[in-house]
Amino acid sequence: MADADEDVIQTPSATAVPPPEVDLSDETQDFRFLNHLNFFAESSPNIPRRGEKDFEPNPTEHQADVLSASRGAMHNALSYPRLHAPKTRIVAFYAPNGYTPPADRATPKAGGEGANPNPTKPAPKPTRVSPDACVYVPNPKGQFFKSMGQADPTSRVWLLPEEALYLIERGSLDIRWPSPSGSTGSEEDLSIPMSLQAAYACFIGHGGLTLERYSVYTGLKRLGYTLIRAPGWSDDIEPQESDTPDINEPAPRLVGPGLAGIFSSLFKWIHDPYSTASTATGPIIGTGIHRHYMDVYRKLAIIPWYDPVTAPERHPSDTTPPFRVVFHVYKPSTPFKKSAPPPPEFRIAVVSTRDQTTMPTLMQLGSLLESTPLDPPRGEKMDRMMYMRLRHGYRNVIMAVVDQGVVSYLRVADSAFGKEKLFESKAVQGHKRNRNQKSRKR
Amino acid sequence: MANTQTTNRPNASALTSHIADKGHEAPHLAAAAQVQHNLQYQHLWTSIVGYTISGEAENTNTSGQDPQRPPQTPIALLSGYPPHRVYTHPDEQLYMLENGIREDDLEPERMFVVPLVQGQSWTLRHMAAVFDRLREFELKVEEHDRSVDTRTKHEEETDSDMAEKLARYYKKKEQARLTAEWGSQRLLIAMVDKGMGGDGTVAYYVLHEGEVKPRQN
Amino acid sequence: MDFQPDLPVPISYVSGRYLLFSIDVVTYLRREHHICGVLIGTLPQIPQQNVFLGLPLELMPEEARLLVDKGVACIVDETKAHDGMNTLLEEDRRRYLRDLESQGLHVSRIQTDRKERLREQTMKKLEEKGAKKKANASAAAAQTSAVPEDPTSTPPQSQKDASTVNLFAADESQSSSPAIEVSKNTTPQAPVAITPATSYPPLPTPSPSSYLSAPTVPPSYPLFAHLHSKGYFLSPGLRFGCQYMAYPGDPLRFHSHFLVVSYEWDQNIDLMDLIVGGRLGTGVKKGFLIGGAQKGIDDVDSEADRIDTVRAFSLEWAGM
Repeated sequence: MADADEDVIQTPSATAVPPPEVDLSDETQDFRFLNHLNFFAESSPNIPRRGEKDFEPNPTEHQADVLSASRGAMHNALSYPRLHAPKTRIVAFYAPNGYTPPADRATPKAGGEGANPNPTKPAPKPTRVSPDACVYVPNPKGQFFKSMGQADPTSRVWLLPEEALYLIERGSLDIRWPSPSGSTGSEEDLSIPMSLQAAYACFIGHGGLTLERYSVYTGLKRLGYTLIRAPGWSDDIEPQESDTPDINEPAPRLVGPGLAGIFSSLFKWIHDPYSTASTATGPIIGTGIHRHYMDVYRKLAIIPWYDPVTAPERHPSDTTPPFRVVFHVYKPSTPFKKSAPPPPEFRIAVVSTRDQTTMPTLMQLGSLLESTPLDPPRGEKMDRMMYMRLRHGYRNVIMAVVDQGVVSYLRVADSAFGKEKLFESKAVQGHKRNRNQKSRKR
Repeated sequence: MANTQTTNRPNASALTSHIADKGHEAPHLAAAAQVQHNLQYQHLWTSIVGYTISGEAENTNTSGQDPQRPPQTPIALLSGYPPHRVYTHPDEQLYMLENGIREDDLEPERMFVVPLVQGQSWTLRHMAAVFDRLREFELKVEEHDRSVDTRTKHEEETDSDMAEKLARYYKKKEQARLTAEWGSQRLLIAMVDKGMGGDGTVAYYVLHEGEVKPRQN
Repeated sequence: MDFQPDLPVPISYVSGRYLLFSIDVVTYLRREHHICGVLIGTLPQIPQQNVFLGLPLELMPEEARLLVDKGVACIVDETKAHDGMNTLLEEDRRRYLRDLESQGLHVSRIQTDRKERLREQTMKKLEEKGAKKKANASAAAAQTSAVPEDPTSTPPQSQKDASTVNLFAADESQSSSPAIEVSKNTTPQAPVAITPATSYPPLPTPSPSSYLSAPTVPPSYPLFAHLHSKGYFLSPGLRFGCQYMAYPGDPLRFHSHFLVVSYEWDQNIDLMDLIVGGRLGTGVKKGFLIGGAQKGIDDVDSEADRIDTVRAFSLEWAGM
């Protein structure tokens, strides 16, 4: 016998009508809808709507025609060349060995202090070029370099592999191979343009850039976000030694109020009846006068709960890759300054499904969350709506799960259910009941 | 069962006494009894019969064994007549639509059910073992039906046009059975969760052998 | 028209992943071998969106393996192959650069031609329109003089005509000046620089001795290959809650039929997973398909031998 929601499954109206927000990138797109985009169209075109698909192949010629038209359109769209008109062309050079400071300066070799992956830490003045940078732009112009690249003392801009690859792929950068060392002609003469294929071959796998990380980077860049590498980018980051409070770190990690620590306190509670002596020897609510239900409820709350506010903040080195923040992300609307990036709006960990085939353990997830700063729910709306507070949580991180080029973003938040004393808010909520029920239905 | 002491325990539920009455000790048979009860009283199935595909207890180390051999544990198999068709293949449905045949015009069809309990061992080997012997049980149950011969339905319907249509349909159906044109062998799996005593819910899914395109309605 | 590449086609192995950069190869594999991969690159013509993506195409190791086993493709270590860039002969470099330059010139010529043509077309249209309007206006004027009953209708109309005529004039003067500039520019005509999609040429075709061995594949490979051999198009499925999505035809044109999950022959299947999968599938009108090879990899000589031993089962909610 079908219950109500099973019926819903079967009614065509529930499934045939697409939900209001269809993520078009979910499905293979019919490239015929790109056909009207002209080969050399000047204006940026709108994205066409999705097409209708069939249930199964049939031997009709019509279907075969439509399919071959779709394939032809796809072929055309993917054949579109990457062109650089003389006026707008930005030339860059590939430097496989990374940044080398100008010869006349007495700066230490690249990779010295430049190796510090922490971009927020003010580095010594002369150079902050990352040792992973491998492409430089002699004459940087245009919007891209506002959020990408690092300038060296000769005001060439050095690009990280993901930045260079993103720019060459979108057709905005003409990267040249270094000229053959023994060549006699002038430098520009025999430098060959780098192909897209060459760019992938050279940049993926360089300086910790995996294809999955790049897929996340470029996917969000295409949507207008600004991304920079987070301190956890490198898998073998050193545990922070400079910070002394490390001394009392090990102890709280075992029994402290961390997400994993909640279990030890739970066990402690079970095994040590004296910690709750009154309940071990008698009723939880003893005799006496109870003037208010609140007192009773408060006494009933005997199970220890986890308070994310008191959890120790961890260094990224405490986390286990791939459950480690590798990108800091900013919305398109956020003013961004390369030299002084604001606190990130999103923190992203990138997980490849082919390398990591299991869910993170509670320990891994806990330390990932605790490596992000406290971000408690704030604002008038959050104060008012409990479910929004729970959903927002006290710490949050986004996991980008990349399955063979298909990216899913999951937001993981540290919700503090223990902080929401339902019995306390009940009286106040009386008239707000409707709203709460609505959000509960989600 | 009824307790004669001063404090009376509540009477066992109909389902519990049904399972107890059957005297089934083996877990797969207890599940079969529960599913049979559910089919009979909740879904109004009739003429339910039960079989067992015996396991090979000596087939201890499954790895490296002949993959065709049945699993260690026995599998219970039920069969009965649902009041309405449970499954119609999309292409069969299309044929019926085109030929103006309604489901009510057709003879009721026996359906096989494998009762399963959450937590019991269930593998591809088990599924293959069931399908490999399904035909055998189909023939067995057909014989059973003939011997009992309870069904005299549709006898009076002598609309010659319809009779002809149906004859063509049955011929086509037999042919489709061989070519798997209207889907391959299929049965229901009935899944019961007895964790914490269970809540009596039985979830039914159609299991097809091989790739059978999904229904669209 | 259908392009037929030389076999085996090279698949670029880059940092543990399998990529394709040649659109001709991508189209060929899709058409002839039902291998779709996933487009992961930015389309240069519409770079600020994620709905339509472009080259490169990422292949699952399963797809690459299947093609290699069929003899259709080979695996090339692309990073290593590009070391060849350093040892390119000066002569080859010059020739390649000359080729690119002539292509660039060709493109810039097409672009200016097109601009020219567009300009001419709009001019022509405007002229025609202008002539028509003028004729209309004079006709209307004639009408009004002949039929003076409705004096209110004429002034706005003539006003409108006047304004349009003015617009035309402004338009013409605007469009003519850049046109002159263009023609000035075109006389020396600078070639447009091109970023090629692939590195072949200038790199020489990799030799068979440099091919890498067939990709290692996950335990789900036999089921993948089995479904592919039955004509299904497969794509990665995690986003939809499974291992693969199986399409009865090219996903460009068809909805998928199955959510696919592979099991080992004697791997215990949690009934709850069957219910979850069956429900997930039924909710989107798809079947939940499970299956696997009867033989383990140790029981056979090669992966290919396992594929024939695959058995699969489809699951749908019974509606009761």
